[in-house]
Amino acid sequence: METIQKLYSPEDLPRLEKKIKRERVLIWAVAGLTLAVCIVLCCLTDTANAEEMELAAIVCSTVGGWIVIYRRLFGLLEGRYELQHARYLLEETPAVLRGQLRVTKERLRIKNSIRIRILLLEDGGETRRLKVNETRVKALRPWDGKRVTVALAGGYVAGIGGEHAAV
Amino acid sequence: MRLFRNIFSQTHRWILWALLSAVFWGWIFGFVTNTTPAHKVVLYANVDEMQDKALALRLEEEKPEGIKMIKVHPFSYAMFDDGELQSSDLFVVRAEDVEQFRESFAPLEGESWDPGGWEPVLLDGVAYGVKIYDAATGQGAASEYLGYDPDTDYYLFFNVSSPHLSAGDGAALRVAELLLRLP
Repeated sequence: METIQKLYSPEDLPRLEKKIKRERVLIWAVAGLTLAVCIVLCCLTDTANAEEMELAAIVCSTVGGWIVIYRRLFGLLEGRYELQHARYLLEETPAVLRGQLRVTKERLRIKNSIRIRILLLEDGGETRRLKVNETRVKALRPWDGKRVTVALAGGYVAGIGGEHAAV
Repeated sequence: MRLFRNIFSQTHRWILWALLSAVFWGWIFGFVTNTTPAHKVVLYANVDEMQDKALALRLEEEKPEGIKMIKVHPFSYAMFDDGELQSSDLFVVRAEDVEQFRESFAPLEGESWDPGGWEPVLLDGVAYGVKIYDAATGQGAASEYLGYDPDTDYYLFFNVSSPHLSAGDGAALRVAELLLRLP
């Protein structure tokens, strides 16, 4: 018998923890390298090349800083939020809903949390708005427009399967 | 696509960081490219155009002992900070500006230096500097670096508060001698 395909499994937790650790190492490495290059540029400065060295230090620190900011916002923090979200979904006992699924283009951003995509589940004239972690929308695409069974934890989609799938 | 969306969503952060970076490294390089007044000789020149970096490099080639840097700036460099001008050791000024800055000039009585063949400038009968550019003859020292107005005389003076006159290490006098020898 078909069962619901879960969006997160317990094996995802160590994978996400590893990703967070990797991002942290990358951020410190880029920040350290940027600072080291800028210090070297300072040490190599003399009257003849002062303007060029200053410009090089500004460019180096700007680009290095941009990489650090980008990786922190979209690597480290998103990894942390996703880990919290995955833990929450795995701890909750999901409710089961059935209906026709529609993946919308509506996105939400909750402060200090994951990015959300809104889904619509229509059943017998009733439409429910569901939420899913945007990074997992891809897993729902094959079900778009079809009748499905959805495992729901706290308003978030935790798993999905065919109309007659068992939880 | 997601990458671009992420990047554009944080435009304010990228701009802010670039500005902070420019301000911070500008401040740091202000220290890196500077030293204490005891170890530098500063020349301010009120000329139309100048090769300040090239002149500083040329003067640094024969910098006096104990001097780490020779800095050369146009007067416009100090337009927002009179203190910069006050801390200068040497001035190259136009003839018409002599009275304006006169109180800053050091008399050269008792100073041991060799101005070469350059004509001394006497203010109230006391030598204060030399004519570094003569508009009548078109002859000027370091004219490869200093763009003199051909219709104006220019004078070289020493700052009365310079620590590099004969009472100190005499470095400003040595730099002036070198400047006067440059073509």
